[in-house]
Amino acid sequence: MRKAELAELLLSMATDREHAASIVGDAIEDGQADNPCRFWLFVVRTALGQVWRRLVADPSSMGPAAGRAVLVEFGLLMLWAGALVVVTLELALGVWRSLGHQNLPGWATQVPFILSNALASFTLGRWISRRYPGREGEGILTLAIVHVLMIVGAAIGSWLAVQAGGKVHLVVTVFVPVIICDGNIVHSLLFAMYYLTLYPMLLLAGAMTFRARSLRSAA
Amino acid sequence: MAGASAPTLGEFEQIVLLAILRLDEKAYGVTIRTEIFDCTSRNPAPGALYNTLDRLEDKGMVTSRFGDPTAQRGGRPKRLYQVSAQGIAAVARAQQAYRMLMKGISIPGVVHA
Repeated sequence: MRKAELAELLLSMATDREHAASIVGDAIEDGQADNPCRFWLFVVRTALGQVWRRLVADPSSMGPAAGRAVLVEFGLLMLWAGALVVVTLELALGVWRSLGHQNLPGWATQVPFILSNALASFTLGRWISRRYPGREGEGILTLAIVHVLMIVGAAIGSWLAVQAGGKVHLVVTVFVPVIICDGNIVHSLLFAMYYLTLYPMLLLAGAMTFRARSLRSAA
Repeated sequence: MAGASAPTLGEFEQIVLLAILRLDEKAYGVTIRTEIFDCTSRNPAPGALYNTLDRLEDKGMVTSRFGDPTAQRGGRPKRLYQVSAQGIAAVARAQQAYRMLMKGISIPGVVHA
């Protein structure tokens, strides 16, 4: 896929399709497309600006969607983890034992869990694109904010409990840790970084694959 | 207070509206940005410009239509903007307010009308 089409696809998840095409057309005419760094900076900044403007203009619009997405995410985690963890671990254990070993090494048992988390996020991105075409950017940003708010809320609560002389160690796990709180706000904030970096990227990748397919079939 | 409920304009919104008025029928992303740079030496970020245009359209101060696709733009159309009557009224109000505020004061480097 050429970069102009890719940029148009990305922008069409933050604004309507015709507007996305005209923005990319402006970038081409303005010579922004000649320099890849400048071009992608232009596209990302414009897409983020569009998403942020629409979200700020009506902050509650994506609230119910985010609630539904969290439930779907939970279901997808169960599905992928169920399928991957059980099947992969059983297979790996069988092979490993046939080689004369007893138990799998610790890191190997983590791989299916991490993979299932990534696949759940990717599939959730596709779900967002199917349910909210043209508003994927808002959905992804809202979902990331919801996760970060949950983590920060739990982190502040546990920090206050530790300050009051208590002891906190809270780990919420749905196959992979969803919330980790040990009274140390820095640990929680580092954990929250996942939801501001890799997590939205996985959702975006899923949403882009679905959007590209639906645009192709519409054409 | 007269016109207290009328929509207000930020500084950049006024600049964008005036640039569209100057460009008349040829106002779209690239030309608006160039016009702003030529007249004010400000180089607005494209993201900020598109957001402002969308906001002005939401407020009913500009209208837009899509032009024909051109090869120079990779076969993509221009989004052409026009200032609505509401937008013209808002610019007039803002300029009138500036003139009223400037009346009776002298600022070095400012030519008073």
